[in-house]
Amino acid sequence: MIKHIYSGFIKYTLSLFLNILSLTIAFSGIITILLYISYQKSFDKHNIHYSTVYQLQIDNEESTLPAVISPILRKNVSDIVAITPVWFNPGIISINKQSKYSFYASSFYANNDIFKIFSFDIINGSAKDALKQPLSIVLTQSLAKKLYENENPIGKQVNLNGHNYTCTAVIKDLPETSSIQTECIVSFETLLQQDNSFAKKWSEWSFRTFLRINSKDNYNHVLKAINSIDEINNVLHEDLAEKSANDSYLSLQALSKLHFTESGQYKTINPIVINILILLAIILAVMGIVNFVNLLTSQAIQRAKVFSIKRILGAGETQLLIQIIVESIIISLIALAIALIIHSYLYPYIEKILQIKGLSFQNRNYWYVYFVLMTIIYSIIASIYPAKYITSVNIIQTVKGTYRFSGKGRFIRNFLLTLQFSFTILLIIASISIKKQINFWHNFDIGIQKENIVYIRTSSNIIKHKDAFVKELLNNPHITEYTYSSFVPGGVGMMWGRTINNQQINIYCWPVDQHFIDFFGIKIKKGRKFSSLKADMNSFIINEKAVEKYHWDKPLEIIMQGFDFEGPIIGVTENFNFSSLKEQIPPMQLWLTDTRPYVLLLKLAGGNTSTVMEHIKNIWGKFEPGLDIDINFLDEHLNNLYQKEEKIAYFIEAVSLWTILLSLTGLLGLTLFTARQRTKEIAVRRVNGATVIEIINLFNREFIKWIILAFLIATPIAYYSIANWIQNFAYKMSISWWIFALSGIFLLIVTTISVSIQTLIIARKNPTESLRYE
Amino acid sequence: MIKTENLTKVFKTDEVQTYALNDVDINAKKGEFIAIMGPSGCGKSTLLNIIGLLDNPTQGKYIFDGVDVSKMKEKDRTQFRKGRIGFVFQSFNLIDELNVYENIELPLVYLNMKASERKKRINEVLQRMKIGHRAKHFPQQLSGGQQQRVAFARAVVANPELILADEPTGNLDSKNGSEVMNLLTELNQDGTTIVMVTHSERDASYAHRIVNLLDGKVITETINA
Repeated sequence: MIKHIYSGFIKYTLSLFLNILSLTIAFSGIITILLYISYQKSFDKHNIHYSTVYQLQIDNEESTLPAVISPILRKNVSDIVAITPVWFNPGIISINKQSKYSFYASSFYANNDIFKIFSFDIINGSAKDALKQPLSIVLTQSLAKKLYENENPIGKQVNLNGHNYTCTAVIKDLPETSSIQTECIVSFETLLQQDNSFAKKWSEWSFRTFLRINSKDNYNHVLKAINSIDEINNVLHEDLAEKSANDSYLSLQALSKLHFTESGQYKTINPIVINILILLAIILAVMGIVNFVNLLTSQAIQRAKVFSIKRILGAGETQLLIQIIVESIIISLIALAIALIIHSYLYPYIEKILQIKGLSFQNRNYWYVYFVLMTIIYSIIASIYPAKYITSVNIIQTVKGTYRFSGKGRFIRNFLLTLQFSFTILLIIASISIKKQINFWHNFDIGIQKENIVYIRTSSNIIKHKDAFVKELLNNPHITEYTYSSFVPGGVGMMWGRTINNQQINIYCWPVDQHFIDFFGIKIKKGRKFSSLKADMNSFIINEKAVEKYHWDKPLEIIMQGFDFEGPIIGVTENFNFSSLKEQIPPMQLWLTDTRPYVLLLKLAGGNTSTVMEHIKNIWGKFEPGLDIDINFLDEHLNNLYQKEEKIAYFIEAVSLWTILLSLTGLLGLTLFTARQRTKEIAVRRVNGATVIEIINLFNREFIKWIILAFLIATPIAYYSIANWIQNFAYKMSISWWIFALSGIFLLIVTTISVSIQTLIIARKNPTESLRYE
Repeated sequence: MIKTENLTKVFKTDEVQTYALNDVDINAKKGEFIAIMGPSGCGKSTLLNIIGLLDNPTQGKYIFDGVDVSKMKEKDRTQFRKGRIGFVFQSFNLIDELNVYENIELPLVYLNMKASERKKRINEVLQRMKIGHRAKHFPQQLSGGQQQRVAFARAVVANPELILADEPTGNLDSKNGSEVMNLLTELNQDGTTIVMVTHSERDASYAHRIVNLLDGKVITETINA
């Protein structure tokens, strides 16, 4: 059989080449997508207790809670094996306070149960009581190395945000596939030991809570138990309105879901991205099969003859069917090998372009086996129909050259071609539309200035000398204005729940300085702006949305409760978008304070950017010599709010490019074989006076009608999908007809060029030669 | 050796039903040489398909060596005809990618014959057909006459009891045509039964008996003197 397969390969070199090319294109796309999906699916699985770890939530939404809940749950619910509140608080770390070498490090506070919940690999020290004592800290290997190089850090001091901690253990760096990332863990006891500790207050909803239960089977039991504790329920009922006394508040989010739930804290991916990728992989697989079937069936006449001769000489039908299937498996495995080689060279670039990780085979060589198995199954599926088609001919008629394939084969080829064209049009429309929506967001007038603004996250030294720091910065004439704020637009993370005149309100709170309103050019609709820090300290300016939502007739008479103060509302601003345009503007208040100047925003006059950056760096170096500065542009930061959509757009763009390539390969094969089969017809037409152009038109007409059909199929689906997608957003583009037209025209042009070139080559031959040959 | 009774073959499409063969009774004794004649479309190829066990009749019986083969499944038919029936065609139907030796070897491969036995048989038949010096050549390097000899060699290499020849001289000049007919006669004289479809009166004259078909029916049978 091998000899026969080999001779078949030699005879059908061109179709073999096209088939391998097309499968290589399909496989390389599928390999990339599947590796990426498997990487995403592998998140957090390194944890031994993966299936019994949960995050505590409110109403199935990612939530922070008071830390005091943890000990109560531990006491009351026996199925909970371990539980810890977690407080994420990144900071500046150094060996000691006087050290000139300090840098930002991610960190969180947790109690010793954290080691029973997550699987951290202890390299040095012991997990038994590493976080039991206040002011103890566990460092990751790379942070320990950064701080102490090769010295043993156990028992040594570490300064984090101005406080000294003792290093009690060193753990391996958290794997890349951990949703939770940190460079160090600080003992929660540290917070509990502070005077008037916020970690002991029911009003401090700042803590995440992780727990492990004894068995997955007890999930329902645990859920019921955690919602039956009066001590917790009473507080929740008081703080969270709109629920009856019997409703349960607390829910458990499985660790396996953590990576697939949007969160500002963890490394996550939107499950929609995964679903879209699965769909794209299926599209690529189907398109690969379509080409395979089309290429095999388009040479059915030639192949059927050889098979018929063999049948006459004693070969069984099954034997020949198996030959075609084995051939297909070999072709597919060759394509897989080429695709894997291409992948090994290209994946670093793809990771870079798409800004993703997880495309390498590192630590998962078993995927090679999966791909081989998948390829074998795939090629069997792809070859069954063509094999049946080729071997089901009338043997004597075939060897005599009088057999004609029924129209069914051609119908199926055209149907498959139309399917390919439809996918291509669909994906082109999708990628352009997503791009258009993202551009719409980028260019939307959000009501505040966002261009030529840079921001710097401040440090404790800078905060201490914030006026002097800014004074020196303003010496550069290209820096025109400044404002200190707690957050940058697009990152406001403080939400206040308050009761005002018996009305429960939830409002975003944005700590700012007195320059903020003018800096961003925010318009005041009612009342006034902040005059000076001294005069208006702890007063508030709310947005129109708050007035509208809470039906306040006289907002300027309202007194807002702060933490340990209260302050008047002195003004109302026009609404402006301070978060993603995917959502409506929520109620928000600006709070004038000098307690939270965590970000310094600077307005630049434009031009000379590099000199200005140099100036900022120099001044920073003067005030904070051991710490690197991180300067960001506001407009870039705001554009990053749409990263998820951009990622989807990138993927769809890449795959639509792939489907275009696949369509073209399939088309190339079909045109070549159709033209070859119709050589005599072309010659007869030419002899009877047809011009080359007329022949080209004839061939193009055949394909154009399928493009038109594909267009009619794809556009309503595309329209419906896009209309549905943009429904999710508060600010959405209009769906443009030109995108649809463009996709159709683009495919039409590409197809016409491809078909015309190939037909031209055959049609230009001397017709008498073809006739003599026939 | 072969006998058909009321052999009927109907081809159905959505709209029409065509009788390619209609109640055909034909028989051939062992060692007989029969020619089947008739215009295009009269059912000759369909008859040859059924006699060659490549297809089943819609109705009627087909007895081969005393065995009713008319309702055999495809797999059984393949098994049954292997080594029993040899085919020769007008257009030779050699496989272009295989050389002369390999083309002749095919039926023996499908019979699962040992390589040494295959070699012996092929060498014999190559000598007999006088094409031993062409064993390593490919079909496109041979003349029409030589190609037909290879086709003959392939048809007889397994020592079949029956040879079906479909217009074996149709693509040959008169000299090569006569040679082919002499070969067939020689094979027949050695005891092989031959059923040949032909348009040529001259070729038909080599046969013992001529069966004339028209519109799927046997209209006359003539015995050559």
